[in-house]
Parts: sequence; C-alpha cells; structure tokens
Amino acid sequence: MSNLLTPQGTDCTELNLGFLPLLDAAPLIVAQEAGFFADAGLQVHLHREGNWASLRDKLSLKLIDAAHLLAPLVVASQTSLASTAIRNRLTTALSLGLNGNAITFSNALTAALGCALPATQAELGPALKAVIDDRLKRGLPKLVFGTVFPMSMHTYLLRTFFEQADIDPNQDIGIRVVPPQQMVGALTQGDVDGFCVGEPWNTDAVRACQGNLALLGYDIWPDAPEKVLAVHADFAEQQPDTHQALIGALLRACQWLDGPNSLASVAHWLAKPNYLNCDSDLLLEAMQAPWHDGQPRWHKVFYRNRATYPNPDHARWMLTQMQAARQLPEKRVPDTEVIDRAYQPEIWEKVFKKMTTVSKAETPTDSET
Amino acid sequence: MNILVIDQQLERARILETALTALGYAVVIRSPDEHRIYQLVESFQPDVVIVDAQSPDRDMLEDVALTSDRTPRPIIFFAEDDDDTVIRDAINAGVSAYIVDGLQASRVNTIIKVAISRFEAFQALRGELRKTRDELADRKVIDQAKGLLMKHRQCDEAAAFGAMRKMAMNKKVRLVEIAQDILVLFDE
Repeated sequence: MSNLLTPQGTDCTELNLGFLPLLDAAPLIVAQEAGFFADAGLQVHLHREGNWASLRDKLSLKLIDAAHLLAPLVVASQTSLASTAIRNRLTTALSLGLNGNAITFSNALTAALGCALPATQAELGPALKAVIDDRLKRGLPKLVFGTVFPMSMHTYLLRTFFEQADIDPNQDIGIRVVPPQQMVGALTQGDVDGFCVGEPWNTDAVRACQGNLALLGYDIWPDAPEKVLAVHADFAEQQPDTHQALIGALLRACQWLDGPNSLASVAHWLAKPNYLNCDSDLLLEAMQAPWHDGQPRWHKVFYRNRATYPNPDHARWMLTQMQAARQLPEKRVPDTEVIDRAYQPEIWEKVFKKMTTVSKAETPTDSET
Repeated sequence: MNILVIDQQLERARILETALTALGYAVVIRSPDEHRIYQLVESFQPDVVIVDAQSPDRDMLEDVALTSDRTPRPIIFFAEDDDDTVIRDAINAGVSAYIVDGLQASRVNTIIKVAISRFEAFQALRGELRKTRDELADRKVIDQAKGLLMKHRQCDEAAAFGAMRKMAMNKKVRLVEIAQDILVLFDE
C-alpha cells in the first residue's frame, strides 16, 4: 500500500500538521507514532495548538499544511462571499471518526433535576425543561452551558437536545464558549451549569466529583460527525498526491484504532507530554468504561460505519444549524456550492479504493465500508 | 481607550502594559487564574483586546465577537512568526494585527493604530450595509403609508406623498416617522 500512496513528482513531502490535545486527535498521533506517515513517504511534524481559532488561522495563512479541525469550521470557511475570505477557504476529504462528545451537568443542576443521571433523553428533556421554567418563574438567571467553539458539533448537539426538549436555545438558556481544558474549572466555579465537550474532559469532571454525565452525543445523534482533516483549498488543488498520501496514512491509523488491542498503545502515546500531556489512566477510562446501557461509553468510532467518509449530508446539516444559531453571514454562497467545496468525498473514494485493492488483508470486515 | 491584555506570559504582558500606559491607554491584564472572561469584557468594556495567539481564551473571544454586535473589538495577537507577509496576510484576512515576539515598545503604538484603523474601516463597511438596509425598510414603510392615505383620502399618489412631506416638514421629523404614525393611525 505504501508504494502506491507515496507521493510522486514535485510534491513536497515534508508536512506540518496542527492538532488540539483531545482524544480524537488520535489518528494523527497514531499515524506518526506507528510510522504510517513515514510509510507513505511523508515527513510529518505535529504541532499542538492552544485553540481552534489559531488552528483555523494558521491553515488559512498556510503556516501549517493540514489540521485536526472542527468539521463546522471547514464548512463555515466556505460560506462568506467576502473577497478576503476567498483566500482562506478550507476543505476536507477525510472525517476523523464519529461521535465522542457528551453532556455533563453540574452537581447543583443535577440536584435540581430530581432524576438520576445518566438518564435517557426522554427523561432528561422534560426534567430540564421543568427546571428552566421554574427558574424563569422565580426570576433566576438563565442556565448557561459551555461549548468549545461557536461553530462546533458541541454547540449544535446542545442546541438539538434543547430543541427536542422544547427549550428554545436562542431564548431560554445561554451557550458560551469555554476552552475544553477550562471546562471543569468553569463548572466548579459556577460559570456554567453544564457543558458539551469531548473526552477526556467529561470523565475528568466526574472523577473530580464536580459534575455528572447526563447524556452522550450518541444519544442525540448516533454516529454524528465531529472532527475532520482540514486542508487549505489550494493545498488540495496544488498537491493532490501529497494530500492523498496523507489521507492514506490516516485511514490506516483509523483502521488500526478500531482494531483489537489498540487501547493500551493509544493511551500510552496520547498521554505523552508533547501530545495530550495527561494521565494515561484517565484516557483508558475515557475510552473503555461502558455506558449505563452496557455499550462502550463514547461509541467513538474511527473507522467502522464509514467513520472516515466526508459525508456531504453532514455538511448540509451543519449549515442548517448555523442558520438556526444565526452564525451565517447575510450575503452568502449558495448551500450546494459551500458543500461541494467544503467536502470532497471523491478524493476519499480514490484513496480508499487504492487502499482496498492493494491490501485485501487489511480490508475492514464491516461490509458497509 | 481601554485595552485588555490576555497573555500566558505575564512578563511579556507587563512590558506591554508599561508601554501602553505610557501612551495613555487604560490597561487591564487578565490574570491567569481568572476564568470569567465574559464578565471581564462586560465590566471593562475594552476597545481593543490584545491576546496571545496560543491562549485557549481566543476561542472565547471569537464567541464574544460573534455575539456582541453592539460593541465589537479588534483583536490583536502575538505570533511566533517574525514574517512580514504573514502579518500582512493576517491583517487582510480580518485579524486586526499581529504583534511578533520580542516586541518593542516603540512598535506597539503603531501596530495598535493600524489595527484600529483597519477595524474601523471594516466597521464602516458594516455600518454602510446596515444603513442601506434601514433605508430600504424605510422605503417600504413610506410606500405602505402612502397607499393607505390614497385609499382613505381617495387621492392620487402625488397628493398622498405631498401631504406626508408637508406633515413631516411642519412637525420637523423624518418622513418615515410620519409614515409610521399613519400606519398606527389606520391600525395597520
């Protein structure tokens, strides 16, 4: 496989990749540590960044070649008609797995709910609605929930949950951005009453006895998209071979991540100081502990269920959510154009085909993929 | 003018504070253990926020900029790259300005001025758009009122418009305000 996916010609094979220290950056870290990048003829430097805005800006300014990025940020980069935005357009041809977020409530909010957590969405929705109505009646301030970025699946999953519970996310509650690493602190200090975040921060809040897991992202939308491998549109256009080699190496990493016996190595690698810089036990717990229904806790899939496929339907859903959250510019590019530019499944199909024809042995057992 | 400085390197923040204070700006440095950035922005009402590019707080500021249409603030941040094209690209991309590491006090004032003027140009553009939209909305109200007058007074368009203009001049108010009164009067 490595031979076919090795870039040829004049393409540059030294690449700078950005990531945020989160569990779902695993494909990048695994591809580096297991040597999948090297196999594909790529010399990759991984850069840990401090925030999503910085990752987005560095990609736009071409200071890095690719990044582990919130899927909605790629879609959003294509929406503006402004001439300055054209040079900053991002695109993706690889999804970095599905699911992985959860909603955690503060101890105070949990107590007010009067139902045991975790609960099903059918129990939780009405209980939360009752708390919100009661606060309104007593003139108490709105409940505030933390998200990691305005344009993120975290925001949209929260909003979807509220809407399904007949709670107006524009009126009845507040949604505020809190960096993941400050989430537990914000919950403890009462700055937020709950939050939606990826791992290991939910597990961290529970371990510190500062919050209670209320719901998984999976409960709101099974197999929801989350992060993608984002590149500048110019990179995808001008260095197609390198782009495909990169996707090939990450596909291997995703496949390996979903395979047997990967957990210990993943926890060991990710915990390193230059990556997540955290306790490897915390990572194991975050990945392994079963949910109350007996299923794996996060339902995080990296490869199965077409988890790597950049699905244009996902981009369409995100656009609808951006509209509802009033995040879109007034004059904007038509939706179909945005989706075509932001999500490029044809590149994924090309790489995937090469991979599966080269190595039948590595073909996933899942018939869907 | 109020400037909020958010930097994980307190020493660098202090250098900036000294330089900015000497230039006559009111400066607040966010302490590292302070989580409440929303409250800080609310209470201090900064005109400019200078933030470290690597700070996790940048994502919160994105939210503040997106949600507070009323009091937007230019955001300037430190970059590791001492590269003029990067700075220029960043400014063109809407990031108000980049301050590179090893900043000199003498450069700070110039950069802040450039950032503010870029930001004001952008705001002016947004203001222009809003003005046009308002004018369009006014036009619709005036047309509606004119139609009502024509119907109720059984007069032609020119007469209705003339009557409205005369009322506006007599009362020394804008035409659209007369139009709104007419809509209320005829309960539309």
